[in-house]
Amino acid sequence: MFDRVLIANRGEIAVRILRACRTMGIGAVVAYSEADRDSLAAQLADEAICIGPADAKRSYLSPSAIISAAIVTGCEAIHPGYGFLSEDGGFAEAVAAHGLTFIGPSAEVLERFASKEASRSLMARHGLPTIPGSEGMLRDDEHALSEAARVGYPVLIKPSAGGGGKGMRMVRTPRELEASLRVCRSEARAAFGDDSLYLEKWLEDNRHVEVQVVVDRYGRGVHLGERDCSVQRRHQKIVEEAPTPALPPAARVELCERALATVVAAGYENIGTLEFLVDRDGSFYFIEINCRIQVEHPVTEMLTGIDLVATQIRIAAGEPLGFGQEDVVVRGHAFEFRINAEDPAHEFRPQAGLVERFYAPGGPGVRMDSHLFAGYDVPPFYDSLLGKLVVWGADRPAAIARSKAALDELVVDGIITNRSFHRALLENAAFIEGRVTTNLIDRVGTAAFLAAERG
Amino acid sequence: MANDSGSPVARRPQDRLDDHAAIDRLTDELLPALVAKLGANGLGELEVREGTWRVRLRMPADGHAAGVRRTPSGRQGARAADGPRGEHSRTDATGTAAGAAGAAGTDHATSTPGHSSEATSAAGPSRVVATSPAVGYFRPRADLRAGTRVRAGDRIGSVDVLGIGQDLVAPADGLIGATLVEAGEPVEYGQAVIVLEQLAEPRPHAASATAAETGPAGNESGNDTPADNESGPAAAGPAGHDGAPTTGVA
Repeated sequence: MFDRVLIANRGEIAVRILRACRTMGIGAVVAYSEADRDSLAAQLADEAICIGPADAKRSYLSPSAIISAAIVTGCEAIHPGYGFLSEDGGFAEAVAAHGLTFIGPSAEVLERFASKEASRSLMARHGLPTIPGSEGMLRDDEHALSEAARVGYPVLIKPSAGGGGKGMRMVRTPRELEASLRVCRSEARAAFGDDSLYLEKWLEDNRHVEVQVVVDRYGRGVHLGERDCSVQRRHQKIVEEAPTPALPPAARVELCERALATVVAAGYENIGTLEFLVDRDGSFYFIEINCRIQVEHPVTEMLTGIDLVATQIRIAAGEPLGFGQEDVVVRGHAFEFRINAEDPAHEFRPQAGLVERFYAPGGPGVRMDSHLFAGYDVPPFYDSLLGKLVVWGADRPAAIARSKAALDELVVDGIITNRSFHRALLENAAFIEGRVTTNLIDRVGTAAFLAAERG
Repeated sequence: MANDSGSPVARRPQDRLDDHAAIDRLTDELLPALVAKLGANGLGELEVREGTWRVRLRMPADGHAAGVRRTPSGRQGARAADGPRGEHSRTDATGTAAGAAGAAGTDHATSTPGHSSEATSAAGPSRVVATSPAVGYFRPRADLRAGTRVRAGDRIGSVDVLGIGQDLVAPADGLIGATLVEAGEPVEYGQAVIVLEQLAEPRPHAASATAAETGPAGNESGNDTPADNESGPAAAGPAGHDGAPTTGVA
């Protein structure tokens, strides 16, 4: 096992990784940008090192700055968290070339799954159903139009790289497609440095269900059940839960077992998430694999009791998994609410500024993963995630009841958050009945959705 | 001038980030080269565009009083421009370059015309600190001793990043003072490495580039891309980065 790990990320996930290191007796070094000098992770770390200016391109996205920081602080491994360089095969390769361990899949595995389009065809070859889509990347507008006509509207434009809804757009007509291609390209280029796009057929009323897998270096893997991330706004997940209300137990097990068998056959390693769309009939289609720890991983931790970040570190260190599928027991129901610095009353406009008061909720089954503290100045440079409220209950109604109490208890003063949206969602009939589909909130509009369905 | 893009508060963080990146690039890489050019060949005005941002430098009729526009919220660091100017016109250009970059580089709110402040000369002796441009191992320049006179933009050491040296440059003219880090020791980004004692005696303000303005450009075309950028990053160096530690301590 490693003696010292460099955490090359920020915000709540830096704190989360630090906690995993602590419980494993590993020294935690936090690499931070100048904008994060006073961050909670930097304060809690055994050692903190400034790697560059606020501009992520010169700090959290700079392989040389991060690797150099790991070397000068005597770290043996680098944990990239999520986002930034977490799925960058070139970075993983550079880390290995300097004699360090990248905590995640190997560079070779990352490269194999780097393109969403390529991993889609790889998984299809291994037997997973996929959504009809374009053949390869879109070469130009004409190619896009002919592929969209072949697949059939509506279609979803998707960037090959990255995630988080950037560069994604659903279009219903050739005219909309033409108008959106340029925007999607520039969004994808700005966010991921890669503007290649492809098309997928858009399924109406779909649910987003993803399977958490864990595979060690020796090809031994387990799945840790699924998560439902259908509560989305503009392709961004807002609330996640498990188990999914969309599928009966037998279908859930089948989905998870097929996902696991496929990734093991495709040579995947470390932890990962296979994302699927589930249509009205309960048919599922593979859409992409995320080769990193995910924001919503605590939902699975609440159900299984397994520390995913610690597991990730152990696998990267070369340890065998040490448990089998029969050891994985999924209990109860859990929700995760992403607490974002966004103003729900003004189109979820991002907020930044000083946090005057912060009280995290508590009690049985309540977990708050956050980097906030009173006096913390939320910088404007990065994403708007302030923390994650994760709530467990013996069943879904119990988890909802606890979630209401926990959200009411949460205090974040000085900066506007989306808490009011979550609170209203918990009173929403579609949510209570587990009927939310990925496009519901956008289709109805946030305000109307919350007003009309309340009570 | 052209900055009418509206309040930065109303903009998306990604846009703001892009703006900051653009400003950093302009101030770190282009501004010093521009100032040097302006000083060297006596042009009246230069303008460079990158994306939606542009930098324009204008030589006033009296060739005096370097002014850098920044917002009131701009942090300290503008005083890197404060020290007495160099001794002749060539160093004036580089000296001002580093100074201007230091001032503009600290401007982390979007520049807005109308909220400008003039960088003025500080009286008396002062110190500036050369800060590390990167994470790595510090390598001093072998021929430098305490008391050696250096000019703004001079390489006074380097930081070894994965085997590649990144220049540590003097943010202003001065005498080498205390070296705060042992040779071969690790340094982090922005760490104070070498103190420069600034010369106390006042110097005449010879031809110096002035009015540097940054702001989003309109849509008009026109270009004056800097052909030679060689003094750019080197001259800007640490002074251009966000640079809290470049602040002169009187």
